[in-house]
Amino acid sequence: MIAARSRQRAIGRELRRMYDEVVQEPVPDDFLDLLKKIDETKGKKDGAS
Amino acid sequence: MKSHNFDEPSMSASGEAASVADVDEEFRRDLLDLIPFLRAFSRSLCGDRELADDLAQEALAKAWQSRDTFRAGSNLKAWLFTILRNQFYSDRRRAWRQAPWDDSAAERVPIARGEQTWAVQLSDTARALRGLPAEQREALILVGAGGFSYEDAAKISNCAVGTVKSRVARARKALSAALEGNGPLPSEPRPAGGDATNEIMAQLDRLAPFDPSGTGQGSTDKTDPT
Repeated sequence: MIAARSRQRAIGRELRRMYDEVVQEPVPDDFLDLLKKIDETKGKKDGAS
Repeated sequence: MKSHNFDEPSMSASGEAASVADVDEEFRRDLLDLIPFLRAFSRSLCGDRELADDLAQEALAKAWQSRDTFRAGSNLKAWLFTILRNQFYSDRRRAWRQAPWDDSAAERVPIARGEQTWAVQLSDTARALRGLPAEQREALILVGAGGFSYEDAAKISNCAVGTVKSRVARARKALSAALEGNGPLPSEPRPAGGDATNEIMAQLDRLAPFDPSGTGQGSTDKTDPT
């Protein structure tokens, strides 16, 4: 029982570690430019119509 | 008429266009703040870094384009995750569905990139996670790592709360069994000077099923305390 519980705790910590590791990564530039690009594309379309 | 700060969205009818622009700007910043979490959730679904970022970008674009459908005051993170999840499942022919957690694909990823990815890092937990059905993996990540309540996880996964609970329970059991198959987790005191992460990594290293180098250094830690 105790071994199973400590294993569950270790799994929980490892899951959070893996997730947080990605969260801590710097966000790639193309993500930040994405919304701007969408707006520019939309702006052109709106202007053309 | 005063110019308002973006931090204080004004409900005053001081010009429809300006107000919409303010709300948009606030929404845009909220979305950008959530990108790291969106990427983490996507990585947990796809496994592969490149595919996961493609999926996350699609979801982000979709969220921005459908921002009018977001109900103000509700959970933006859950809404965003729902979009990503729907994208993930919507087209089974897409690459991220076709080759999730593919071993041979993972091996083609160059390891020496200075970045740890789930696909190449492969701790025992990550390995076991890969073996889970996508629905169980998703439920476990949302609740166990993402910090979502069962209720919010159920909304994201579009299923009943009880279903999420049962998926999480089955996922935990399966992971536990998979790790047990590699031998019991040592319950030794943490290594001298090690923090909690080092302790886990040390445990996982000891559990590693094989070590090609034979040196016992299964993980390539990017930080060296010395």
